[in-house]
Amino acid sequence: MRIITARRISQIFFLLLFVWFCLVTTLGDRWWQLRGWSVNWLIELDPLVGLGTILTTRTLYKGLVWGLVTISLTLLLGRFFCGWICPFGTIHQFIGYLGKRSRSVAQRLSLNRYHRWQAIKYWILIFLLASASLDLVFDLLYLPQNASRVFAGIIALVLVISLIIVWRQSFRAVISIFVAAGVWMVIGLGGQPPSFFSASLQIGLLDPLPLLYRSINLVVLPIVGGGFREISPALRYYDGIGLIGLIFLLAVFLNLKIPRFYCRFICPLGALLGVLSRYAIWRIGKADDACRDCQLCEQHCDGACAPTSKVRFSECVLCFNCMDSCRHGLIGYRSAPSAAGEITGPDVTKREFTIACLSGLAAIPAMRLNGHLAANWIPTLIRPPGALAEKEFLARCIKCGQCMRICPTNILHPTGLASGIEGLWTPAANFRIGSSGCQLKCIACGNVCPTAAIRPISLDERLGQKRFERHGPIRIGTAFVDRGRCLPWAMDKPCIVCQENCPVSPKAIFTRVSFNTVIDSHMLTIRFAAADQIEFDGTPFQDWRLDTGDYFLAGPDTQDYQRWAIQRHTANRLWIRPNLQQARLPVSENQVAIQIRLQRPFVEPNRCIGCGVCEHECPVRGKRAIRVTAENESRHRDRQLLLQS
Amino acid sequence: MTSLINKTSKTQTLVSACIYLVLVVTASGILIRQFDLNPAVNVMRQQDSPGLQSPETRAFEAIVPLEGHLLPITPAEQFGPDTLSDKINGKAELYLSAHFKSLKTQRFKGLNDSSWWIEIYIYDMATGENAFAVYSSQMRDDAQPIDVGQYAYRTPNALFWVHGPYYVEAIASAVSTDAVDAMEAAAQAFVKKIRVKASRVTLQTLFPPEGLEQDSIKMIPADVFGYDRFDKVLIADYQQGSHTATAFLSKRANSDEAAALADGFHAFLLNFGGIAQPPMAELPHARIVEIFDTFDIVFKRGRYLAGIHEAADLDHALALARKLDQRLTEAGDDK
Amino acid sequence: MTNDPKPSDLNRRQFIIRSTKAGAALAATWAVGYGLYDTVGPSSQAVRQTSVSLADFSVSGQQPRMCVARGADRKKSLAYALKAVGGLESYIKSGDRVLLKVNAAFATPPMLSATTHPILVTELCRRCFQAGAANVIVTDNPINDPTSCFTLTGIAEAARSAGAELIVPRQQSFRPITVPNARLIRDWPLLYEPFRQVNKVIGITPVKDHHRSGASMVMKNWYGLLGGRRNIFHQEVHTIIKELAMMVRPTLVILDGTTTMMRNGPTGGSLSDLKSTNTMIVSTDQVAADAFGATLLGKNLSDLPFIAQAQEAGIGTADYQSLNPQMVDIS
Repeated sequence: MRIITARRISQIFFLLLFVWFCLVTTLGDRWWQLRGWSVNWLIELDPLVGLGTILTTRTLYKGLVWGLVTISLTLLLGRFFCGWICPFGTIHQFIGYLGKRSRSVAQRLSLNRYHRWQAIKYWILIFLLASASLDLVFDLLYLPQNASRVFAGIIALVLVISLIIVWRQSFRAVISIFVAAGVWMVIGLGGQPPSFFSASLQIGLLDPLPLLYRSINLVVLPIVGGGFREISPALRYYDGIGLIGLIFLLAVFLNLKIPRFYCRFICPLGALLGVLSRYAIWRIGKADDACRDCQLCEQHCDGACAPTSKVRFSECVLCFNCMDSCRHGLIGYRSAPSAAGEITGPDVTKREFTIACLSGLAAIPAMRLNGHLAANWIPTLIRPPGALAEKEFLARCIKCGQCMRICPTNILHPTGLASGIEGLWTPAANFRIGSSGCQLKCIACGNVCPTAAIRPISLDERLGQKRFERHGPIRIGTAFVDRGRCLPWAMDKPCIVCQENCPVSPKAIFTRVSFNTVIDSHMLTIRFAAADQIEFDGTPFQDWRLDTGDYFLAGPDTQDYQRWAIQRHTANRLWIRPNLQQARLPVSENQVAIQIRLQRPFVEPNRCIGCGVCEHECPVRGKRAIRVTAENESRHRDRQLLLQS
Repeated sequence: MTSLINKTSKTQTLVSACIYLVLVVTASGILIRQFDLNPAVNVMRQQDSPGLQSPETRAFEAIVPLEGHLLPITPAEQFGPDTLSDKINGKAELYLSAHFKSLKTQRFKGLNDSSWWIEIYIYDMATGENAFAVYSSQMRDDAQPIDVGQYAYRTPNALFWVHGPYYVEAIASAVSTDAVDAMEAAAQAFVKKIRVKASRVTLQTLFPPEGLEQDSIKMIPADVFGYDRFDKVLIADYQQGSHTATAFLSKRANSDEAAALADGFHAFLLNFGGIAQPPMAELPHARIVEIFDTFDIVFKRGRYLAGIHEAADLDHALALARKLDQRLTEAGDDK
Repeated sequence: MTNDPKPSDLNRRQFIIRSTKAGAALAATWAVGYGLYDTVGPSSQAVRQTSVSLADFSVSGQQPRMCVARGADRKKSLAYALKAVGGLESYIKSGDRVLLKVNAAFATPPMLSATTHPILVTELCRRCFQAGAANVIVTDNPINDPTSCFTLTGIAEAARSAGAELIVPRQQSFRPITVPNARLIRDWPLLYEPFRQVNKVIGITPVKDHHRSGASMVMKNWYGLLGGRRNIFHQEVHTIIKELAMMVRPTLVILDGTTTMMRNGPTGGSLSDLKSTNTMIVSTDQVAADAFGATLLGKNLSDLPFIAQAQEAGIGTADYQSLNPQMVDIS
């Protein structure tokens, strides 16, 4: 039994598992639906997600603890995750294999040679982790203010160390330590960071698992799965997925050019695991330097880690192709270093590290100066129910798209640049797409979110009942009637669709009746009036349909508007329902008008939860005449619209 | 020995075997784990899965036995007088005025995956009279009488029946004989299962059969002929030659109430421009009013209040009124 | 055993070192993971800061006292009024740290009397230091931009010249507070930073008409201690004023009626809105001070429901006569 067979089976196993997880992420209890399938497990195994959220929130949420297992095994074995588990890696490897097939051995060798630019992935990792660790940096920086005793202790320690160094006669080091401590003290005691200086979790942009989940669930499945009702009963749309699809295609097809392009050059998870593999107990290496230098082992080397010369173990994805290719049995997975020597650490200079680190830190104000986390918050950004306050939300969301996939009504969509670069691909509701609004009794999104950016709320919390009664239902926004577009408000057309569809009880949309004159009295001259009918000169009703039950004959405006419902009509004659309680029919000399009875919608903001059903159903199909914006959403206290009484 | 795995070493096989074992364990773990349902799925199940029976579903099934006929596709919903309009909107008024108690509804589909689905509405109207009132006042034109419960008829896509205090509608999503047949089976099961005090509205037998139009007997729960104090009145349409008339009949709590209501209705008619006519010898205790070229007659007999409404011809009306009075006299107050 | 390391020995040593490091990293990973493990997830308000509460700053064991000094010179009126209530020394002891809650709500000049007069700020700071105060802090959370408010009202300069510390609110200065038995001030951001360091609180503010509540005086002045989207409270303005009075139990309040803003409050803007009423009220009872202030505006208690509400809540008395206020005339 060859080890690479085991590797391939493992890769296929995890790829199929991943596809299975994508397929079953549909709300339901059949075996091919969500049930209890651990659809997030592969994300949870991804230690970059765990590490990123630890940096931003200082907690390791639930299943993300699986990342520790990956880290532990990587510490012992190397980047096994890349070569054996990662479904994205499997796809790359397979496409890369297709691309290599027709190439000569020499070409393959040159393709798999280590490239200096493989360091880029480390820069990306450092950049992303730096921006995620801003809170930690500031806490450290302002230690003198916030915990002066601890700081004093550290300074004392520094002095002791300095003395030791002085004793060892390295004055330069002492000077730099003193300068650093001085700067620290000045900054730490002096100011306070602006409020927008807080960590930002952007690993999801390039972390392979969120990227793959997002691409498959939002792009591939809607295309491929459109024909299978089991996968999605209705065609699912996702707004703003163009870029997601493009990046996915690019990442996949670049393998034809260079195998495992993404893994070698871009993947921040690979970079992290590469760093972690530094002290791996076993590593790939040559038993004897005196090999024949046939270099055949490199023609299938997936990590481009140069096993023939000094092996770069941080690049090795443990594909074991080299061992399998070596005709002389010289290469093995060994506890001793390669006989040809090895390079354990990543190929990143101090200067590169510093630049990546600082630009990661500097990226945050660059992203935040738009004020989206302050007064310039985006009212059209409707976050799903249970989403944390925006800052905390952005500190957790990894843009994996699981919430968008599970949403039974397909209202959650990846935000484009509408919420700035920082909010790219984070979920927001779009009530125009999808099959309804946000369902009153659905808590799916929070219960599949792997990082609790959307909290796993219970139905009681969602509806504000039982022990959550004091808090009321979770509001994700408030509906506002656009009176310039609403049919009864702007066009004298009867419509109560929003009121009828409002799902909360008692309804958050109510109507007020209003009668509007549609045919003015000077257009109407009565010829004669009988008990239940009335005839006019000319053909005033030629172009009208007045028998819908909404139209009324309104009595002389000198009186207090008597009204008779119109039952049917011809071009010049009306039949009305006698209203015995009211005055008799208007007689001929009276001035009468035709009025329409309108029920105009109003929103009661204390009841509206922003579910968007009204917006979804509104018959003004373009820009809806009733729209939800994030006003009054529960997750932000300062967006409260009214005092609760 | 520094190599864990070597091309030549036996450990390759051993490690491979271990890895396969790990994969099997992983797969089993995931398989076992999926039985522990996600809270969102649990909530969804409680909401609308027919598979898992929520208390409401069971309550519904207690009144509509479904075995062998239909499969629920939504959970049962219940509405009271306050919430009825959430379900049927403006039509609620009709039921509320007839002392509506509660409505249970649920959607079903056929046992074999069917293209149609149906929704069953069970209105609990408290009494058989009220149920008959709402039943009769919305009798469809294309009604085809069937023998289910006390009163029942079917239309191409629906079934309506009264059973004790229940007025039940079963409405299919499409015109389908299959669907109506399934509904009829369900209706028979319903009638068999639910025991009610058979309270056939016997009052209607008091209408004279001559000239009575088929299926025209209706119970009007309130606001009869626009008179707000006039409630629970049976009406029946009559035709003789070109003459039409509507007879009405209501049994009141006692003789005094019947008399007072007769006076009230008379006054109401006069108030609307009716002209009082002299009493006729054939029916001396009846009062006659001419209004809008038609005639109304109102009289009382014991606890009964009866009369003729909007008769085109006075003679026809009087003859009808006399027959009615005679039948009431025969029946006495106990009917 | 030989001291020459053979290659295999070297490898073994390296292996052991590496294994130790890997083991240490493993241990560290799990330790951190265990320490930060979170099975519950974030709560609804992810960063719920710990709530604070305010101490009772009034001087215990004293009868409520009040004095009304009549005169056009603020310095003199203040001096007489303070003397009449027993001298500032009976309230401020040596070593006390005092907070002056001024009204600096608007970036308007002192002349318009929409804010606490700088002369009064300087004089009060000076007297506090005289009484032995170790530190005096002047603060407010204005409606307009804080820095220009403090500068243009002259309060910044007044505080500086008297040696007091001016605290300009920043986002970090606020902490949530829940006032017991209050309905509106629940978990609401309070300008807490200045309170951290003090043990005495004096409110000092002019008498002003207020469009929404009828009057802005001592109790309404505490509104400047709230943060967040506080204008929402204008929907129930009388309740919020009562609850503000429940929140702050001051050492002393000073209501400056030397010039009263009679109409178009609380901003005013024209000198014609002002009227010389030549009155300085110093009181330990904020309700009584406001009740008297109302007379300067020509309003009675039914115009200003918050006064009766505050009395009902047991904060003080609307019947200022019952305090036997000393009336001092300075001419």
